[in-house]
Amino acid sequence: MPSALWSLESLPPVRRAEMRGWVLLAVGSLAVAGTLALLLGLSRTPKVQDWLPWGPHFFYRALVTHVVLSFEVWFLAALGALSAMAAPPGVWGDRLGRLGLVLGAAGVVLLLIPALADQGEPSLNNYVPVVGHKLFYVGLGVHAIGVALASVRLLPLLWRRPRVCAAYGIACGALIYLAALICFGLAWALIPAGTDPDLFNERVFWGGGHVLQLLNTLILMVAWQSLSERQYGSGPLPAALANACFAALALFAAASPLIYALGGDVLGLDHRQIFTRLLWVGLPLPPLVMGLGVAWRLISAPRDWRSPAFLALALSLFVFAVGGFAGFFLGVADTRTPSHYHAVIGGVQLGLMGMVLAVMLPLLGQTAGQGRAVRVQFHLYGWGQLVHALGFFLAGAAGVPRKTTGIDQGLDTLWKKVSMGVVGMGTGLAVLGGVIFVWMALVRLLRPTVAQRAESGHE
Amino acid sequence: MNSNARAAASALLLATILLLAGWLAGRTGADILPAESYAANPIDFVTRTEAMIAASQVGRTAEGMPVVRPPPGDVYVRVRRWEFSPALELAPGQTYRLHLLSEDVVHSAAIGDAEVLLEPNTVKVVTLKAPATGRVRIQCGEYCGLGHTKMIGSIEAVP
Ligand SMILES: [Cu+2]
Repeated sequence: MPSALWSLESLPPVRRAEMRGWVLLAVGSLAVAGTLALLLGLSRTPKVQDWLPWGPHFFYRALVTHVVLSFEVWFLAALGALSAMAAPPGVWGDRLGRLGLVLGAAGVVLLLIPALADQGEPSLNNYVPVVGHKLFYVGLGVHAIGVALASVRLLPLLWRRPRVCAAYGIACGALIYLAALICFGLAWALIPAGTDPDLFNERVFWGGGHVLQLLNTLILMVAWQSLSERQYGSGPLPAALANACFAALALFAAASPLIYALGGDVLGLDHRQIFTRLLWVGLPLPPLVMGLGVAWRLISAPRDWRSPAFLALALSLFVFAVGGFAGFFLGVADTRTPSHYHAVIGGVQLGLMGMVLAVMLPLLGQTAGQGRAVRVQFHLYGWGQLVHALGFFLAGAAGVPRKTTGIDQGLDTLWKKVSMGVVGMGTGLAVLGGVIFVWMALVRLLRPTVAQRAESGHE
Repeated sequence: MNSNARAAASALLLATILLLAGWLAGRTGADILPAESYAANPIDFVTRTEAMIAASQVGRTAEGMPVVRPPPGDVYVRVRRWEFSPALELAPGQTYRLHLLSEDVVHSAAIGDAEVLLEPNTVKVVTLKAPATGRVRIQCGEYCGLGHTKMIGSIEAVP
């Protein structure tokens, strides 16, 4: 039975320790990212900024580091945790995992240094923004290699039978991640020396950055699979169809490095646009099929609004679907602030938060319980993301070119103020939800397990 | 039930392979703006731009740039971190040939839904028909530094 796939007993202690390390790295990175966000807010606050030890460029360095920790490291360390759950048992797998975890954590420490030491030119290029400092690049590279080591041990699962849904999905995730790394490497090798740093950063992370969006989507689908198994005892789709969904995303990722041979000049416009089309053509179908399965489950089975697994399933599907619909069908007019991207990623975050609280923590002998904090957290984060996206959508609607004279202009300004207020309110709600999540997860990761506490007589 | 699932899975994978083939083959670049190009000396280009500004400025400025209302035909636009200058006022329905030259790094001009890459030392010429009224969106679409998102030009159709 798939529901018996992962239990406290099925995961050997070595793997449990490794997985705990990855989850700590993932949630810890979120905590550091949140602290950086607070600091960068303070660095723009009059009076307070005089007390901080950093110069005026701290803001962008901190912003870059915040983005890398809360998008890249959080998802990649989560992939590391998933790999510890799914990797076939064996000494080599354990060694690769441990080494990967050490490198993954060391890389994060290294990439933090330039921001804290106030050094390096910040660049807000797409997908993986960077601080232009050797230590930052080295840190990114070391972290990436760490996650790669943890991922390679999953590749045998791709052709092993029988295929177990969630494990097969995670193996597809490992394949997608390795394809993204190959894209980064090819871009690095192909971009001519002496290219302007801004353009270099943009193009070196462009292709692989797009492939990482396939990985984020796959992580969400693995979360749907696991949460559905936890909540209903089986996945949202028949196993063969679920596996096909995972494989469909992996196929696109595996073909992506070909673009560096077929797509023309790596600095050209064709190359850039073909990767944009990757997300239009390759991304929507698999989560659509699996999302329909999840929706059917949510409608046809009893709804337990107290269960974290149910809440994570329902809210992540809803937020992801709203964002996906806005992106795919409305085309969202203003290309600069794609409101749909926030919602789509918000849906992925909700799925992964649910995965951590309702699947990973129990595997580590901890429980998230059904307490109010868990429910409040999911609602705050989910509705916050929706309000945030709505605000951006309104702001985008205000930016549509049209005749603006006299009174119209005043109305326009008011409209902009209101919409930015809505964005701010959404951000506030989501941040609050995020803080509660990080707090709940860290407390549970750091305290003795339920069994240990029972042994020492505390409970 | 099981065979239905297998059929659905096969259909999904078949659809994916078709989409994949379409993606790999479909690089016609419909959203790339057609443009002529020629090599130009940046100093000559600035001279031509200044001459156009002197001849056709309307006496106002927009965001620190002179507003120019050139006659239909050749129009010169300097491109650099992080501006398109000068600001243009065009006659509705008229056709213009925008000569764009980047003076520092690679930028791009996204006009409407299509885009052309602007490499230093090469002028790109795109044809633009002014709409009946309102603004024409022109902005940089290639990341070029911290001011990139504010790199938006000003083109407006004014009767
Ligand atoms: Cu630019």
